[in-house]
Amino acid sequence: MQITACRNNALNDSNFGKPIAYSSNWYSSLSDLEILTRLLYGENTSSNLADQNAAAWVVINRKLENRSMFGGNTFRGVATASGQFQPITGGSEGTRDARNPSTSSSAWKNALWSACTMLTTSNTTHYNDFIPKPTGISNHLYFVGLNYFFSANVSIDDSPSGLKINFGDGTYVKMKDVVIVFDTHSAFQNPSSKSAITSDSRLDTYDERARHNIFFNI
Amino acid sequence: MTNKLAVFLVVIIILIGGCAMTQREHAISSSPSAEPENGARKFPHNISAEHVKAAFEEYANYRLWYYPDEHNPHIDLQSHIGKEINADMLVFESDPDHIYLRTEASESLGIIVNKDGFVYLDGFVEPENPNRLYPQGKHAKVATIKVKINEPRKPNYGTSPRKVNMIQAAERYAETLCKDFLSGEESALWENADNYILDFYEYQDIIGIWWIRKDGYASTTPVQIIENNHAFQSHGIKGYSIADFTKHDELYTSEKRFIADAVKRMACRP
Repeated sequence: MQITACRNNALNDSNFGKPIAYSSNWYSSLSDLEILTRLLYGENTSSNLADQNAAAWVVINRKLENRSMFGGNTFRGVATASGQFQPITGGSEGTRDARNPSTSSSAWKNALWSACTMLTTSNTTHYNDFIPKPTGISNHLYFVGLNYFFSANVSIDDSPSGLKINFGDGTYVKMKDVVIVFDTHSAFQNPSSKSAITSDSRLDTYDERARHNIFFNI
Repeated sequence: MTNKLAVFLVVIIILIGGCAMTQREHAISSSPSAEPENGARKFPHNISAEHVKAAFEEYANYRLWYYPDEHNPHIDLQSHIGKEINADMLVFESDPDHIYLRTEASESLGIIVNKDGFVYLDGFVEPENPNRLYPQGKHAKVATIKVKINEPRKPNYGTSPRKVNMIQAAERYAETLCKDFLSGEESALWENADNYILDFYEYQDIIGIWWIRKDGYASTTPVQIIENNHAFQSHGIKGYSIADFTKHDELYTSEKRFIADAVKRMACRP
């Protein structure tokens, strides 16, 4: 099977995933496979692999959308689009995990599997078969880290129910299809307010939120 | 500080941590008797009412200390400062692995967790929340406790030899990051950045690390500490950055309080 071969070849390549010092174009000489793997790994290095799979689906959905702001219709273009994915185009600290991956971790191996799938086939059915889509995730195009989401001036409640997010220009945009992934079959969908999230026993502390992104559309 | 004094203080800290461990283990063996409320079996867990009382107090203090303006739909802690809350300890047949806490102040149930001997309140679940199963059916009341909600103070995170090892693992991780930051294209920006390792409860495995650069830019780079055969390994977790962290006193109040309570402070130097 091609995906398995792709994964095994990469795992046996001592240069694949080696540490890279920071520069603004640190990723430019890497293969598409390695950029995608480092991106997905950097977006969630924890044991919450379902959340990482949801991030993979955002990458897939953006490629299928083929919008210039998302980097067009190639995975490399989507992954390296300016200001879109912090693990690739962020600064020293934002890219640190992607530049220095733990290649023995389950998160790295899961990211590699997803990247191999994305580059081995262009058939959406195959994507569905090999990258399990967590409950609530469909055509999502956006996510941010959950702790960042609760930082000052990033998000507000939307009356009477729902959430809004500020992409950095001071304007708050209504969020739709909001999902926080716990595992493949369990998610917190469409929270009514920020406090509905922060009072959830699984998300009410900094360390619990650190394992999660929040996925949405606008 | 002389070396002898430093050694003496370390020994005292370790002894205090050791005593705390011993007290906790002792208390775990003295659980109260259970009275079935709906015909359910007795509560099987090795947790005492004193543990649960302490866990509730610590939870309330933590929320009030770091999130004083938080609207908690489960329980209004602010309005209970200086007052006592009565709470029943329950165990449900549908979820025998947890103790639930039913307070007079809320319909939601608090979840009590015992992780490796550390007993804590892991938040609340509400009956109407479709995203979280609310325990159903037969349940037993194990005990009733009274918890006074006090004015908040710095949380009692505790200390132990194991926690010291966890902190050292976080320090090593921070030093690795510092070297990485100082070796890249942005090295000048990171020189002499202040570095804070946030305090934590020992049952947590992700520790917050903050960096505050001289230009006011701040970044959090959490680290997961993984114990393997008594060795402590670190594993970076996704964080976030704030460009204007030191420029607005009124913003980032929770982050600033966490940083003020840091267990360790260092600087990133070449």
